[in-house]
Amino acid sequence: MTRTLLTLTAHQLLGRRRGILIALLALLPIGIALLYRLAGEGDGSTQFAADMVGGLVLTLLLPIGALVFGTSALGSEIEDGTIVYLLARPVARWRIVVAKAAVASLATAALTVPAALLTTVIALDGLDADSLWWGATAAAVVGSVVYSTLFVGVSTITGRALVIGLVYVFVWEAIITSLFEGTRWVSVRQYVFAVADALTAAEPVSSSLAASQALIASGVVVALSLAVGVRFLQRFEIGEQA
Amino acid sequence: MTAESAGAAIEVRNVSRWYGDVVAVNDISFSVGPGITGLLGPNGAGKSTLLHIISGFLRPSAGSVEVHGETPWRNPSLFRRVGLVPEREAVYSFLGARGLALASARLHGLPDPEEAAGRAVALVKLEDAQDRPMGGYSKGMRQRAKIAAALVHDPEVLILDEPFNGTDPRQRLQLMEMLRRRADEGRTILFSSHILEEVERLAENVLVIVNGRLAASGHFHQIRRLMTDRPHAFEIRSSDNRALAAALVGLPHVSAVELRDGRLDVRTADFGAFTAEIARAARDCSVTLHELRPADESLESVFSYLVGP
Repeated sequence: MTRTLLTLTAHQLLGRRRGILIALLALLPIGIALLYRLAGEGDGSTQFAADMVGGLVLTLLLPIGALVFGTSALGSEIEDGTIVYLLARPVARWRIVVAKAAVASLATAALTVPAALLTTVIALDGLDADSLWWGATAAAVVGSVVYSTLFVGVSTITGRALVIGLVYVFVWEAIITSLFEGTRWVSVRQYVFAVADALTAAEPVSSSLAASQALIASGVVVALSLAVGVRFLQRFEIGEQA
Repeated sequence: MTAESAGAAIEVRNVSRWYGDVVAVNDISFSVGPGITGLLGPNGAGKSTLLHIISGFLRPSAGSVEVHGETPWRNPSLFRRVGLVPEREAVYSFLGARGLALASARLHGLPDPEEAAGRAVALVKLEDAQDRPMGGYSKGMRQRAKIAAALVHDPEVLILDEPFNGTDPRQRLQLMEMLRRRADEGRTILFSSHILEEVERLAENVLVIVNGRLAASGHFHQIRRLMTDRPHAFEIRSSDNRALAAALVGLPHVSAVELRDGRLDVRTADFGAFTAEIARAARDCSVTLHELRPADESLESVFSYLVGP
């Protein structure tokens, strides 16, 4: 039963043109790192690698990938009405939401983890002693799960999840949290950087949140997002046109 | 049928559903037992809303619904006994009919999903196209694929919302035959349609719904008689409307004649007798008929008549 849910969701996500475009975006930081190495610009600059991973992979590719996959995993089925084929079956609603979130997280991770790892390894010419590669990879994994699950949850409460997600990433996380320290608790980006900071000794990577705080906050966001999604499906009402 | 019918699979009691100020379903009660029941009404009458309430996809604003003694709202386990064919055309376009049926069988946790899916696809006669993605299906093929997915677990109750939309006459006959066989096996089948002839050919019992209200219910022939016995209106244009009016007013079944805007409006209680006699009446008074047109013969007007003033 769970395998069927996973397979159906994977089919839907991977067949979409948007997913392919996002995959191309994942090549951007890797390509820049390659050019950097080929140009002989540095001999393994940690600052450059941290800028690439932090500036491109974790703050751009990660939330955009999660936004695309997270909002499509369940939201597109709700929008086009095919969700009825899942809900008109004796399947516990939590299974559906967890399966959707899991596939969206996996798809996002499949995009961002190689990007984070390869960018670091190429820029630093191998696995660096400061473990930036490990911090970036772990942060990408945690970020994939938290962002994707969050956007799956958001897609169940609004049909404008994509717009709301973009505002959250590029206004709330990029601007508001940099202006007001207290808002970092409601920023997935801050959790991601806290995880990276905890796992690398590289100087350029820092966060004002402790890793333990970030992991607890991440757990809360994931649990709340799943709960919102399950509650929505339990009370799902079909539209007049559905 | 009454709400107290013994052995009813579906019981609807005083159900209403409104969206803000709009009342979609208004205080409807009925019960449905084994066999085929048609839910007939014009588009927008509230048929889909009612079927969604019965299948647990809408919460009634008032009243209650039971399917096999259980409340469908927030009760997904009821789908072990119920199959639903939604009206909306959307399907997983990357799956074939067999893939959709197989996914349904697996979600139902059936012991042999492959066998169940194959059987369901055969029931709707889609074997030839079963592995082609449904994105390339015609509307009728999609309808049959949806029905196969709903039948895969051999449900006791089958709810179909406009199941014959897009099907060609041959497919429609096959589907009707298949549904009849299921009904003969003691299954309960409730389907909606806005097409009188579909309901006439398939359903033994009919529920007529108009403007969210149950306008009539019972055996199809009773409903049909009510529909044909209603007053009929005609608009006539002739060479001498006044002379023709004088001739028609003497006919026993003509209840009203009115001269208006260069035409003659006539109301009659007997559609057949009037159309048989109008030509002779015109000839007898040497009037040439230019136009004879039934007015207000839409299905909506027929249904409105059943609801009454």
